[in-house]
Amino acid sequence: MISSKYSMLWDAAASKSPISYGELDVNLQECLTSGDGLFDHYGGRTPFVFLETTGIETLVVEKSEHSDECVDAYNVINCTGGYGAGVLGGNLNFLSERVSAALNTAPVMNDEHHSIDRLSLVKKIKSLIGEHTQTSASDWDVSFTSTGTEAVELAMQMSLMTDYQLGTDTDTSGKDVILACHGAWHGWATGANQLLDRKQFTGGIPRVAGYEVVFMHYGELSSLRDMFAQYKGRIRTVIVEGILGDGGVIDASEQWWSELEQLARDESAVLIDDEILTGFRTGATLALPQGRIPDCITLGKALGFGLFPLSAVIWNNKKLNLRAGVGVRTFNARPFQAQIVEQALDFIATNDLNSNIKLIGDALIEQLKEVQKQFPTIIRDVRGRAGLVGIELERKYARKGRLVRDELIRAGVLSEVESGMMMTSIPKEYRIHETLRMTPPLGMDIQMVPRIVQAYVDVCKKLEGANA
Amino acid sequence: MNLEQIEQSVRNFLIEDLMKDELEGVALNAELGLDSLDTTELRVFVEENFSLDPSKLIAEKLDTLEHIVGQIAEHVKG
Repeated sequence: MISSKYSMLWDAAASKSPISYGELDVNLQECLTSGDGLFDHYGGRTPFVFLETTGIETLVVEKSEHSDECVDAYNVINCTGGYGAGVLGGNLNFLSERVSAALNTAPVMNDEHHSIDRLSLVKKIKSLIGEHTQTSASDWDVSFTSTGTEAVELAMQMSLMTDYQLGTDTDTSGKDVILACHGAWHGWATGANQLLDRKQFTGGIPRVAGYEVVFMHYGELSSLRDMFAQYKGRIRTVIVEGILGDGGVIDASEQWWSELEQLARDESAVLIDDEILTGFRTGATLALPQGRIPDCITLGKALGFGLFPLSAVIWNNKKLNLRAGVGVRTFNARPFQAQIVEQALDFIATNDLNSNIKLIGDALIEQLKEVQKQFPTIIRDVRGRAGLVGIELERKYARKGRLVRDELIRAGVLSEVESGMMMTSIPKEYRIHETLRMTPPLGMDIQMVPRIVQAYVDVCKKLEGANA
Repeated sequence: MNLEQIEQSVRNFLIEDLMKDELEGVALNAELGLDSLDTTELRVFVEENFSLDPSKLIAEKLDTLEHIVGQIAEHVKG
C-alpha cells in the first residue's frame, strides 16, 4: 500500500472497488462535478481528475458511470508525460534537492547579462547537436525561447529575414514559397499557424501576405521531388518535423532525409528541422538521422522536462544569423532553468536512458503489432520509434480516438490522441486515422510493457464485445 | 446537379470521408450528430464540390441530410 493522503483511493484502484462520493474532500468533489475551472479549449474535456503520481503510476478518478454517488479510481501508467514533456517520469525525483539548491542561489536575470549556468547549458546543447549531426559544436549558435511555438516563430523569423534589408525595407531573395508538410504541427501562434494545413487549426487566422505555403507528404520521396521541381527557384524555407507527430506518428527514411537535405541545399533554401516533439524522445538527441545537417533545429517540450516551458533554436552559423534586436525574450533560459536542465540532460547520459527507451519502444511496437493482428478491426497500424509510439485506429474508430483513450485510462494506461490526416483535401491513400500516441518516460522499467500491452488487449476486447 | 445527385454526393461524403458507417442509409430527417470537426470538413467539402462559399451555410441547419442538401441546392440553383 502507498502512504499518501489518497491511500484510500489507491486501495480502491487496486481492488477496483468504487468509493462513495460523499467521502471525498470538497475540492475533489468539485473537480469531479464541474471540472477544475479551466476553460474548455477542447470542446469536451475528459471526466478524469488526476490526483497523485508515484514513480510512473498516477492515481486517476472519475464519477462512476453506474451511480452518481460513487467514484471509480484507477492506477494508470503514464505514457504521455503531458504532450510528451515529462520525459523523465518518476526519475525527476533525483532533481528535488538540486531544484531547492538552484532556487536558493540562482540569480534572476535576463539574457542581456551573462551566466555561468547558461554557458554550461549552451555548451552542452551545442555539443549534443554537433555530435548528432557529426559537425563541430562551434558551427552552431543557440537561443532559448519559452514555448515550442515561440521557437518555431523565431526559426521562421530568422529564415525569412536572411535576405531582408532593414534600411530599404526590401527582400532581395526573390523567393516566396515555404514548403511544409501535410498534417504537421508547429504551434498555435499566427506565424506558426501559417505552416499548418488543417482547417480546424487554421480557420479564422489570416494568412501572411507575400508568401505561399505549400505542402508535401511527409516521408514520401515522390512528393518531395515533385514539390522541389514544381517550385524550383522559389523555395525559401523548408520546415519538417523529426517524426510527423500530430499527423499520426509517421517516420521518414534515411534516403528521404538525405534527398531533402540535398534538394534544400541545391535550392539555397533554409532547412528547419522541428524537433520540439521528438527531441530526446527517440533514443538520441534528435529523430533526424545522425550525420544529416539541417540549417536550423528547434527543441522544446522535453527540454523543460515537464517542469517549465523551455525551448531552443539552434542554427548553423555558416548559413544563418540572428539580427540584433530579434529574439529577445523575457525568459531566455534563466540560470535556475539552465542548472536544472543541464543536470537532467546529464542524468539521461549517465544512466544511458537512450538505450533503455529504445528497448522499451521496440518491445511496445513488437507486442502491440501482435495486438493489432488480434484486433484488426480496431487497430490499423502500430509504428514509431523508441519513446514515440503510434497506434492508428481502424475505420470504425477513425474519429473516435477520445473514446478509446478514455477506455485505456480505465484499463490503466494513459495515451494521447493525435489528429491524423483525414482532410478531404488529402488523397484517400494518404489519409491517416486518429492515432493514439504513447511517449513513455525514458527510464521506464521494461517490466511495465506487458501491463501496457494487456491494457490495450482489454480495451480492444471491450470494444469488440460492445460491437458484437 | 439535381437534388438526388446532391443527396448522393453528401451521403458518399458522410460514409467515405467522415467514415460515419452508422449513417449508412440514414433517413433524410434524422439527426446526423456531427461534431465541430465533422462540420468543418463538411464546409470544406461543400466549398470544393459545389463551389459554395461555406460561410453562407447556416450552422444550425447542418443537423440533418435534408437540411444540408436543401442549403446546397438553394445556393447551387442561385
